[in-house]
Amino acid sequence: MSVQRSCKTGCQYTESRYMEQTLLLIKQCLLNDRASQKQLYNQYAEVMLGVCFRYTKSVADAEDVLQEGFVRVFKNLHQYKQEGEPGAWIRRIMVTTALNYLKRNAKYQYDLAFDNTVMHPVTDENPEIQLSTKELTSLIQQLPTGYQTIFNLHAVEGYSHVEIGGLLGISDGTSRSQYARARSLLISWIKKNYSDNKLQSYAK
Amino acid sequence: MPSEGFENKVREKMAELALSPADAVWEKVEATLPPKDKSRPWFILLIFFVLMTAGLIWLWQNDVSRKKPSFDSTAIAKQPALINHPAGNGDGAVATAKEEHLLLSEKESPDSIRLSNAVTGRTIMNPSDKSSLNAGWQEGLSGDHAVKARRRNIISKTRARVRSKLEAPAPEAEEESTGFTEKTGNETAVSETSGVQKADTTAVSKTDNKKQDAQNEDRLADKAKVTLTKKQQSKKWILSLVAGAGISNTKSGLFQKSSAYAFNFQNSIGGQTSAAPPLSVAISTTPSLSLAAGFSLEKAISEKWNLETGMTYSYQSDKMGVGNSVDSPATIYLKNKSIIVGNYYRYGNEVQYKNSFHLIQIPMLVKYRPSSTLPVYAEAGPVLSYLLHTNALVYDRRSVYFTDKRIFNKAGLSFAAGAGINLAKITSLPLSLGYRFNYSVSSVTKAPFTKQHLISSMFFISVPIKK
Repeated sequence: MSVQRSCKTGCQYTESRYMEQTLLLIKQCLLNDRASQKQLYNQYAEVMLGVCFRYTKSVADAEDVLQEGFVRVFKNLHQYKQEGEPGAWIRRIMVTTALNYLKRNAKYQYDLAFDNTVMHPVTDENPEIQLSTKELTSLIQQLPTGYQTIFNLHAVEGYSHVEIGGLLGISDGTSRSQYARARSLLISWIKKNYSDNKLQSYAK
Repeated sequence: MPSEGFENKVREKMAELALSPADAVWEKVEATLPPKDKSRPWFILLIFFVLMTAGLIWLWQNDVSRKKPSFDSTAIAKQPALINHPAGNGDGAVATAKEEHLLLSEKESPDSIRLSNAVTGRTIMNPSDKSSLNAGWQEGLSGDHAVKARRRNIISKTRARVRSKLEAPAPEAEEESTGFTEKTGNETAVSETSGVQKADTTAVSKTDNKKQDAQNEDRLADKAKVTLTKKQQSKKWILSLVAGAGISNTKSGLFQKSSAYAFNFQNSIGGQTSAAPPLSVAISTTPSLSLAAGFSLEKAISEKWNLETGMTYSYQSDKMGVGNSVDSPATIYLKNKSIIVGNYYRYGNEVQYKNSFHLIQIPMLVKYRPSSTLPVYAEAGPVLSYLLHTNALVYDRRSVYFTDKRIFNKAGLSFAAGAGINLAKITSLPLSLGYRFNYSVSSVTKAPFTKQHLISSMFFISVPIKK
């Protein structure tokens, strides 16, 4: 059974059809066809802005990362091997661009300092997430930048700690420790948020 | 190891995160993208052709300026010693020198104008030059009848050649002949041959005056006849063989970079209608070889304007990357009908497919020659075409490339424009070289297929075979 995919106008595409369309679009982008470049941008901009937003603290910063990321996408489009899903390739570029942005931007420099003092065991807690996507994103954004980055890379993007260590120039142990603290903080905030909501509903 | 339950929940939530970026983001991205590539092979070829033409004109003008001062009759007349060779028989030397001059003048004047003026040299002779010539030549012509006879023989041979040239059809030469006749009063335009001929004429004038007067009258009558013939011939069609080679491509528009080979409405293959919206998928084609051969008919309508028509077989092609061929019948459902194709190609880039078009073209061009002295011309006009055969593939939005003769327009209208150079005017080669750009105004594909236009850029060679 083929996987259905929705386009912006609500139409249904099969996964293979969607892939072919995107590959054709990329082919045209490589010919420096402006309309196709715009189409490719429109196809991925919203999702990629979400990715960028998770790594930054504001929409404005996320848009800066998105712009920088798409410039790199079009510049390096010839390197895309047309094997995997183009979205995944673009996403990797966005993540790398976001990390470079954080390293470069003074606003994020202080929070991005990773220490390796205490090892934090990863708890087995698995609380129910009754938050909306935006609320959860807001909570992740409240984490210190270092925690936020490692949490995003591991929990959302699925990078291993070894890979994260390579990306950020830290040891995998530091990455594990930072992730554990980030996870713990986030779970406590989610629990707090849940109890607050419960109290509010009782009050009503 | 902790369960991944929490991470999975976060991942699911985050997958839904999508934010609309501000319009300014794309504007900033676009500003950093390389500018659209405006350079087209057509422009490069046009520049090349313009440079080539300019170079040929420059060479031609240099050649003319080098030839013009090569001989001056007055100078010869004033220096008889140069011709009257001191060694051996002086008369013989004079005759040989004159022969050489005659031959030289024939070589240097490829058309009949200068020779015809040589025959009628007397009429344009400057009296002062004439006397000095007489004085000079008389020394070498002192009463030797044998030499006189030989001289007469040379003159009669030259006249015969002139007559044969006058009678021989050469429209360009005749055209110039008329122009030259108008200038006969201008002494600076007198050729070296005419100078020699003048001397000859003067030398024999004492004995053959009456006879020559009669002959001159005949020649004037001949010239009038030739001018009349030329006028008649200008109304005739000139038949030429034409051949050309260049490159061609298919575009969705004149200034479009790529072709769009897609349907622009809902369709399906094998009866399965796709739910996706209408989509025009741009497919890039690369230019490929184009050839043309046929004949052209040209007719002068005024001094500067000519009409050109004819019939040309034209082969045009372009290349595109497609997937592997599938030798299985497929039904393509169009809006009101369906087409069954024997085989089709999948989407991909495994096979380099050549779309070829075989056409018969009838140009109806207007040629403009900016100057009678410059051998260049510009041409433009409509071209009627008929598609004999094509194997061009059309892209179905379900990623299938197929071809069928029913989806192409047989008749078409193109617009051609170009320029060329008439080598016959500057060399002994009876050729015309030209460049022609052809754009099919009408689409080669029928509705509802996306419009496709053939573009060709060719260099032509034209050889007149009959007037």
